[in-house]
Amino acid sequence: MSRRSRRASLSEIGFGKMETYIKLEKLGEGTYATVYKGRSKLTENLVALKEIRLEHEEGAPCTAIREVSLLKDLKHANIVTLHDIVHTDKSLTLVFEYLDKDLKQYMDDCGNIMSMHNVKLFLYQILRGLAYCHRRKVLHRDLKPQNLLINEKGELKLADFGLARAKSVPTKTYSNEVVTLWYRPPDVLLGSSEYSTQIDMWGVGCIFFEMASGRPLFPGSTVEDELHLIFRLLGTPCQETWPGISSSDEFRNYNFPKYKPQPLINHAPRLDTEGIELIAKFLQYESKKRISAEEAMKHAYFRSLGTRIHTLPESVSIFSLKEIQLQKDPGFRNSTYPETGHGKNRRQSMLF
Amino acid sequence: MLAGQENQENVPPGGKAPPPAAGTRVALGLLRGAQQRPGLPPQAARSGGEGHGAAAGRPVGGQQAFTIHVDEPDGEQRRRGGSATQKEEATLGLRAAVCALGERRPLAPLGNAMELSFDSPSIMDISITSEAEEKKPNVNNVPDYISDIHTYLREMEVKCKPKMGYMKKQPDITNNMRAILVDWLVEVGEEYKLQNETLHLAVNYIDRFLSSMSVLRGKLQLVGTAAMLLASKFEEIYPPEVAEFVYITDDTYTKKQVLRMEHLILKVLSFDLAAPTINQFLTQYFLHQQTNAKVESLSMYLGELSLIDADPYLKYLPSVIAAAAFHLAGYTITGQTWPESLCKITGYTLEDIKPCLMDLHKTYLKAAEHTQQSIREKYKSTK
Repeated sequence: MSRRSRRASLSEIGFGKMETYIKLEKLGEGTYATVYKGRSKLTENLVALKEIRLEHEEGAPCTAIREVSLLKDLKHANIVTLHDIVHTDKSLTLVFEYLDKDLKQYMDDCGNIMSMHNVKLFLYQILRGLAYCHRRKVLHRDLKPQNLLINEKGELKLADFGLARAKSVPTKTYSNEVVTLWYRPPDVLLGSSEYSTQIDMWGVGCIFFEMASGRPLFPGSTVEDELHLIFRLLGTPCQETWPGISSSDEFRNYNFPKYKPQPLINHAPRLDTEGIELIAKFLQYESKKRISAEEAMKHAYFRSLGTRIHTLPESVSIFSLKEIQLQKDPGFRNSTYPETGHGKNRRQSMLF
Repeated sequence: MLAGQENQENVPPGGKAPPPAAGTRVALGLLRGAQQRPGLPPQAARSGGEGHGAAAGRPVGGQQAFTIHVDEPDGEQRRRGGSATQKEEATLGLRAAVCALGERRPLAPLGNAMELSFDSPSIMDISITSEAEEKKPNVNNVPDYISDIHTYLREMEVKCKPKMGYMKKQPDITNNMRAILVDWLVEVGEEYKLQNETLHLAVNYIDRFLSSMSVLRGKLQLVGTAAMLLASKFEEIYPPEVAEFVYITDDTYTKKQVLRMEHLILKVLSFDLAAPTINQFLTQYFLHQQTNAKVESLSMYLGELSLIDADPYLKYLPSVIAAAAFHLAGYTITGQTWPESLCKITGYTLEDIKPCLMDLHKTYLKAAEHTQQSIREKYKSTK
């Protein structure tokens, strides 16, 4: 069947048409889109409908163009699946698989006390998805718990690739919400526009810490505050600890006090030695020193997961192995009432 | 638009005389004076003058302007096949060819195209600095992913390859018109200081679009404009606004037409915009095999020259053209041939890239006489 006739027949089935999807409740608003929960009439499955308004002035936004073109090529068990694209004159709707929670909500739901085994499984899945992206020259650039979606099986998937190529990360959403700085590496905070795969690895370290300790590592409110928090914990960098930093005007202008590095273990006491060692490899000032996702998956911290996990085909979930099972989180309380104000707020940032 | 009689199309905008050495901007400058429209590209101005603007009055963008080819198997033969039996002969032939490349090096175009550009830091803005910028972190990154990335790009370039013979099925446009369009896009890229990658992507989008849609000559520039808009949105940090793209066509098309065409291209390409380009492969090769700035710049120049002529270059994959450009540039400047390290990573031997190399060498020698001169101007311009 030729590509064109195939496209035609897919359209007869109902792909690419808005009528195929029933819009349910709104899940949230983000930098450039509104996300709805929806249902596909074709499969009866739940979907997430990411609706991007097309400004009449500029056509399809860069973010949407990048997200779609990059995501279409990413087929992996730890990356959210793009099922369909509905492109009309007024809007562009991306139809994603639906996952019940994001990592932020997951952590809230277990009172910020996750099972350390689950922390390991989630971290491994983040790395697995990320290594796949990095092998394809795709950077995520905006990793944060809100962009990591989790289903009831414990499968974790990376979502929101809208910034996957943008060089300057926006600081505000269109609704004027401040974009979080908490997971942003210090080189980017200091204005570096160089990008490579290591840009994503800092955020992985921050998320790892947050899962293990139950609180965000560097919850800064401004760029300066964010840097200040980083330096207070890891020590103010100098030429020896971060070659080249002394020639950065941005850095010198801030004139931070000279903090000494503190032992990470004091802040994440539940983490074992290997975990602490791994987290330190993510939180390197010099981006080239940060451990890669590929390398991190082989770290001793994951030894307890066995060896079979390393040879799984890309599209297969780690939970297909019987030795890999989610444990009950100590602080878990079932939040079957997403309507309660708290739960709903947590959903606001989902998928962005 | 771009629609003059075929025999007129080869006439350079500035008249019969070759463009003055000072560069593209002069040609634009003349037009500027004439049209009171700074930055107006020659083709836009010309066709405006020729009254082809009528095309703009046709029903907008809709499907009726495009008839649809039935997809047929590409029928392209594996280029690399069949040479095994003549291996020895080919090797000899190749040696002769490689020698010839060195001996018959065209001094004039090289001098113009290359030497000047090295004296001028400003040109580096476009061709070199931008590369260096992306490369710096990549260099550090080599051990982790570089070979995975190469494998992936090789897989994707096959998926994103236009059909080489599509022009034969186009009833109203020719390779010449395509050459004029690409040449004009080079100027647009210069005008807005766009990345080289953006140009390479736009040309890929145009060729893939034309591989399945038949387009009237009056709409060819619209396709090119919308492709450049999309490539900018994909690649640039600060893509020019749609209004700028309308403006560079001298208002031949309306904003609405450009946006509708953008929509149509997205649909026809089914949003697959992350296409590997000659530019990306060259960047990869430079990472694997350290070379000098002259070789890099000449490689980029050669890679870009190949964008102009659909025949013969549409039949080669970007990775092959990049390899030929790398070899030719290296051989011309340092006498170095296709290195073992790259042979290993790409799987291409010198013999594999030979057909493309011969074509590229020919193009290189004749660059000064080519009707389309924007790339030469770009790489020698002193601005």
